[in-house]
Amino acid sequence: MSVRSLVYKELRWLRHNISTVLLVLVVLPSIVALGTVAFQQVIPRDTPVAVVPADDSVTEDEMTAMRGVTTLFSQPHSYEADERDAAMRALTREELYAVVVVPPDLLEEDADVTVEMYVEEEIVPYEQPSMAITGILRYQAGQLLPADVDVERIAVGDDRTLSEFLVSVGAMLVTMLFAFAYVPYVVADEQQVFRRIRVESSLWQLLAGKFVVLTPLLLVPVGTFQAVAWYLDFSVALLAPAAIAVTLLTFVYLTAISLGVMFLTRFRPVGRMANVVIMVGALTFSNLVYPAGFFSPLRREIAKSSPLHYSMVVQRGVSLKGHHVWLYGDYLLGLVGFTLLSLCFLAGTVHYYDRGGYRG
Amino acid sequence: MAEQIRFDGVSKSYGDVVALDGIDLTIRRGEVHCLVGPNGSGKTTLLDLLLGLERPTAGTVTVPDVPIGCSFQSPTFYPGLTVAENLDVFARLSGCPDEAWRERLVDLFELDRVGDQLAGTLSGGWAKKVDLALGLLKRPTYLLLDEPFGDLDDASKRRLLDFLSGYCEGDRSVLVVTHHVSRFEAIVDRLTVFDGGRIRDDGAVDGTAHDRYLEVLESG
Repeated sequence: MSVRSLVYKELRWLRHNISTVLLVLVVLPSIVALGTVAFQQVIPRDTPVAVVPADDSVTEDEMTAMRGVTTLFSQPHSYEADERDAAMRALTREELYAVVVVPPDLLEEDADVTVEMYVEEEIVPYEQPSMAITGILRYQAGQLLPADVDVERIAVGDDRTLSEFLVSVGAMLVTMLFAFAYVPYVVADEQQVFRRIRVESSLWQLLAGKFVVLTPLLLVPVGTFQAVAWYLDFSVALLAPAAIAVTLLTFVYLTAISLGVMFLTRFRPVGRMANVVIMVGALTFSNLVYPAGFFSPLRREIAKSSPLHYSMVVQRGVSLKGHHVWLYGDYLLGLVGFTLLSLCFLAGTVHYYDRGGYRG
Repeated sequence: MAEQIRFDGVSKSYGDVVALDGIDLTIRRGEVHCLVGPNGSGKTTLLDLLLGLERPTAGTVTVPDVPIGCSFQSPTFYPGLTVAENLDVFARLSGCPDEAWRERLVDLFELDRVGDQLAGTLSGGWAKKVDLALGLLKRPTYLLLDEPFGDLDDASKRRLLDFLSGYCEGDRSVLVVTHHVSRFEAIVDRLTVFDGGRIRDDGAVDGTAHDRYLEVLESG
């Protein structure tokens, strides 16, 4: 009888938590199933690549021919001959993952030409694909173009190991975990004191206190990553001022989102599950590890519209590649704007919570 | 005349549910005022409106700019801090560094016995004592108590009654929200009876609060 009674209790509980149950059992599986649409191939067929003429003598027909060949493994972007520096800059900012320099006489029979393909050494997950692509490009160009075409892969930047690359990614993952799991848990744990805080102070000040303490606290796990990196003799600078600034900015906007979700759902379990869904979604679709363009054009577009993607690019740029932060000035400006937007979202949800009182 | 808390034509609804309906009420200075009524009669909603935790659907709540302290029906403190730390945090928040007053509250509620204990691990009675102490920290002009006896033992109830009877000397007021008026019989100056979100009766009492309440209930 007692099992029957407890089964009855479980059924009643399910009824009272129907929104959480639906989120976990219906919405989440639906999102995961729908998310598979964004995985179409395992070779990088849709990475953005620049096609740049070597000089002014390269004809439009030759450019068109080379774009046709590169379409097999990329999304080609055309540049003018005098825009080569711009293309190389885009390469270092991960707007592009290769720069293909088209020589003249590509369509001349018996001409002996060399196509240069520049890739960044620090983007380790693209290293081996780019080698394969060089071979494909060499073969396809030889088959399709009249000239005798060689393709030379030229690596720019410093040689990095996959481990070094992943250390900078790991620091971003910890930031996400801290923002989406730890902070909402801590704030939810103190929900019982909200009424007194609202009388004696305000929820705004409570949240300000949380941000003031928890944001610098994030430096502890980041510092731990750095200490391990030093121990392993990795060349990664996670504690460079610019890297710290980007990491903390990322933490602030992610935390504003996660806390906003908690206030919006009045700290019900559905809020915690929603945060898990958002975290997994952001992790999956922001291309923190693989270049945008791996798996599908859809994923490339999603990643290109994800602030987390740009946080990763900037953090990687300053901590792994040693770039000056101002190379990413527009990214930073966008991230600051998104942070302000996220804080507005949080403010709106706190106001909603305040207006609705504790009753919900 | 000192400013007083006033409710003028105050109503509060949650969707179709009317919690308070056209309340006109004044909480005077220097009195122990008891709000009494059955469960769900709107007493706690009135308290929430007074504290600004809720907004009235209609009418006006006037609250003078004087210190107001509150002990809630369910204890509200940081469960992850010790009792002493909670007192410290809320003393800082309410801007009352009066150490002697704080010590008096610690003695009154015997909080030195649990000072180092995490507040989240306290029993119901101790939790209520901590909440009462937090409400009194800034020595408020208006002290609002929602079911102040909670899980208190008899000796603690006695001490609290003695304390409250002396607290209103001068122009301080205590507003007690309860559905057990008989327990406060000895100290209540004014009684307001709530039922169904409306005031059924409001007036001064002198040791007759419980009888008055029964009369109102019996009158239907």
